[in-house]
Amino acid sequence: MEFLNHLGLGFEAALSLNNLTFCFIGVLVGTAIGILPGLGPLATIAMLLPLTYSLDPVTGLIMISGIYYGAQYGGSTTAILVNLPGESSSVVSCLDGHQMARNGRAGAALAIAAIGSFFAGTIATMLIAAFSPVLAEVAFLFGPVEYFAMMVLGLTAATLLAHGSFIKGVAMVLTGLILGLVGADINSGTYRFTFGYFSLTEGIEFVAVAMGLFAFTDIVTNIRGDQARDVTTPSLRNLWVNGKEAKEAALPVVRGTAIGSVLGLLPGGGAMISSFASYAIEKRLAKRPEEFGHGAIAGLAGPEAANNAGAQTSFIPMLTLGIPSNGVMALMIGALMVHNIAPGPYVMVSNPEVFWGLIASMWIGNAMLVVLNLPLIPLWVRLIQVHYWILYPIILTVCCVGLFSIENSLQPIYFAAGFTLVGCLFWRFRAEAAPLLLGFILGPLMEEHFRRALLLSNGDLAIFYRSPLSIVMLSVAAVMCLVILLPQIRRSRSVAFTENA
Amino acid sequence: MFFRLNDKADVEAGLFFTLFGGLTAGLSLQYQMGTIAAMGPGMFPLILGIMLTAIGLTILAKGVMAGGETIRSLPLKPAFLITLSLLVFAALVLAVGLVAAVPAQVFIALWASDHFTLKRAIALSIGLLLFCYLVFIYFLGVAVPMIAI
Amino acid sequence: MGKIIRKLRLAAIFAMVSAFSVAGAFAQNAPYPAKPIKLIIPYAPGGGTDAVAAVFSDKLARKFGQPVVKENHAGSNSVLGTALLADAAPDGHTLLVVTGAIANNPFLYAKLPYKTPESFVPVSILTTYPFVLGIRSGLPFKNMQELIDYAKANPGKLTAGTPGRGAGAQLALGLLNKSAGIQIREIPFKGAGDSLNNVAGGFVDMVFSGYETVRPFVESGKMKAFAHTGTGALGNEKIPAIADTIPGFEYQNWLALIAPAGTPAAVTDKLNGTLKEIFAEQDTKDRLAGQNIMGIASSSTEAKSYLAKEMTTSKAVIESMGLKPE
Repeated sequence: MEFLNHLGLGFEAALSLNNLTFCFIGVLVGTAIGILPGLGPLATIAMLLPLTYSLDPVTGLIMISGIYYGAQYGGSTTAILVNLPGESSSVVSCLDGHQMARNGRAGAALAIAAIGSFFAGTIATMLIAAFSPVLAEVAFLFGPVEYFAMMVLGLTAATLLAHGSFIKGVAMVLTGLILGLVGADINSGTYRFTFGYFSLTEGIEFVAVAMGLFAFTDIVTNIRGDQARDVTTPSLRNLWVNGKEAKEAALPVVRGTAIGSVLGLLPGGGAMISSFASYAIEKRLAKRPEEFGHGAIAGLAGPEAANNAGAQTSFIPMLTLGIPSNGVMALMIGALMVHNIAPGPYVMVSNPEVFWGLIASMWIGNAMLVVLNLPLIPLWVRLIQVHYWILYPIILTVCCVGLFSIENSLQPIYFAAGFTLVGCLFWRFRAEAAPLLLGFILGPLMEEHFRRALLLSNGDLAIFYRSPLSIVMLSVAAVMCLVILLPQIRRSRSVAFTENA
Repeated sequence: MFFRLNDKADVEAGLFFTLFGGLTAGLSLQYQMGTIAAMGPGMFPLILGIMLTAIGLTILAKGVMAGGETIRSLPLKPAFLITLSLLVFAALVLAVGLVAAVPAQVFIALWASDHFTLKRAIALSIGLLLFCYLVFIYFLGVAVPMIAI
Repeated sequence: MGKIIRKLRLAAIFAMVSAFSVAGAFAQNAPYPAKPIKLIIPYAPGGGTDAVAAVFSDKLARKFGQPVVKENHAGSNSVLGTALLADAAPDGHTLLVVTGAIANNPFLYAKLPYKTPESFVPVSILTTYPFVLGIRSGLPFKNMQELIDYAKANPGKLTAGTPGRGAGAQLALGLLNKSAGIQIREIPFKGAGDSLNNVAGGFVDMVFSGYETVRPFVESGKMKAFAHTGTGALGNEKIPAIADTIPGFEYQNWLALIAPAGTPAAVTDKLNGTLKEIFAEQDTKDRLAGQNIMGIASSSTEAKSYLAKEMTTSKAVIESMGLKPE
């Protein structure tokens, strides 16, 4: 039980009044900014990073991780309340979380998100404390081939996000993949589909696509139905999660934690895929999969837990090997360097108070998040009780300023406007936007790994079934497709049957 | 049956995906294809474009033959006005500043609702302007001008 | 996801300004700088360029009594951030930290939104540093000669990760291939981090990267720091130079501070002089030495001829690699 001693050391460092204060400030500010549409954890941390430079290394890192958790939770709040995914991982929270909110269970949805995240955070923190050095190695099992297989698996899971037709889900994933390819090609540097616009070389802004397809389309289709919205106003009396909901959320949270903890170790989108994977699994395991997309509790609880566990374990490669697995971790490394601490295997030995203090503060940060946010839930719930005609102009304007601030450029607003029209079209012919967004995020990664794998193998396609990990993932994807397709075919037959009759 | 074809969601979806896939495949031809070992920038989009076209045609065929779901009728006025409100905001924010962009957006957007009244639009605009100034400009330091001129 | 927004930055700066106000009182007489200086970093936050910029930007702010605001605009091998600088007002309030990539890009990208070097005034060279060649620990080679012998016997068998088109590491690889008469295949990645991970995981054979980025992998036994592209022995590990095996081989990556074309000489001179003071201070030297980097403050004219010289070298190496602007 050596790790308990280490944790003791960590809590000693983290529990000083000074550190607790900065942890609290971090969580508070992170939540406040993360709630604004368009500002995800990465953006929030990048903004606040200079504030931490003047602090002690431990205090600074503790504050940054507080911001990280806060921003992530703030993002989920926006996703649940106004159907606005500020970043890739909260796309899933929109699906059932927002539906819950519209069914009058906004309070329960927010509470489940907070408690599920806290549970996942607690488990993941213990995992980090106990197994960091061993787990770090997992990242090195993944080369181009394995990543490609993982992307295929992730995209297969993505089609499950749609509760409509499977084949339209596939078409939407492909559409997303194509949109994701806009910009400079990694291997040759060629600008693809930029139509001469230099600002497109880095691709279409994700936030613009997400806002157009989700938030703005939602507004268009809801304006006429605002009376209908009022009917589902939550009563303030049963804000809290009831027993039945808690029971439904429990197992998905556990499974989500497991999925997130493992996938979070992988650099390059592991944590992100975990929320999608969790959603897909919960939908498969559900007794009533038809509830998904209409406010299924498992569809919110699982992914929220997975997302948070993944966010947590993504610290492992950074802390133990100095490898950033995502943008947030790269910023963390930058912050360490400012304090003249070189991240790597020796941080544990040379600066144990930093290493274990940070781990302890992860748990403290998560706990504070719950303490801070549970009392705020009634406040957030009132937010959606506001008349829709007041709410939607606010969403529009705040989103516009948010879009502008991404690069101090108007272009994302124009793109969001374009994608609003496209989103309306999708809505009209009943194609769901969530699979498209996942394709959009994974498209460039998938191409990158696919091409790199073939470059390494000199064009030998056999490379994809020479790696055991890749075989397993590709087989799971194939089985998943079959499992989805078979009932679909049966159903469409029965539908055709009833129509004929 | 044929005259009802344009109500079918799958027919419209199929057409959209076929066209978008075809467009992608067509446009990707201008980039180098390379070989399987060293793929050029055009290969992957071409593959995706062809796949999407094929799936689009499948959906189209399915829609024509089996029927399936009908389309939802899009509320045209809100769709037009919300999009317009975004464009107007973008056009005004740097040229004139938030003082013009926010009210313009609020008026146009609110016009789409049955609850539009002049008083409400004015009140909302003022509230939002205050919020934007305090949160975005004062607190977060976003380089968005209140008054640009 | 896209680029980073920096919002609370100004709030942070207000806090810092109060600390600088004493120094500021003395500097206020000078016409430059009249407002906060925007320092563009054309790479993702947290990288090596950021670390060097952090060392001198704090001190620059203190000496000028004006905040120096770092803005990361990553993308397209630094082209994106560089384009922003080229569009900025030439008054010295917008500056850019560039790497050797700026000298390579004109020969690799056909449609650059600026002209090199006409769109810029180099202010000063900041540092130059060699790349370390890290090879995956599974490879049996003990020295550069063995690696070259193997590569000669098995052309196209070895692979090297690079952080993408136009990055210094790509040119270092090209130079090695050319001068040793071997053919190590390039596997492009999106940034140095990915390429390092893939070498550590054993999927790619080697990588050219900064000393600080290779070191953690060497310490954890996943890579061997094999040789470096400078001269002499490097660091505590006494890593040998490639030049020991291939006489005359040298590739130095560099960082420079540049301003938009048309920036008055008075401004660049002032920047220049202040940088010289900063780099002469002991704690600047110590901080950079921690990263095994030596700070250099050159004059604007020196920086200009350095850029011109580097562009000639780049052109030759890129042509020898058979690459054309696309």
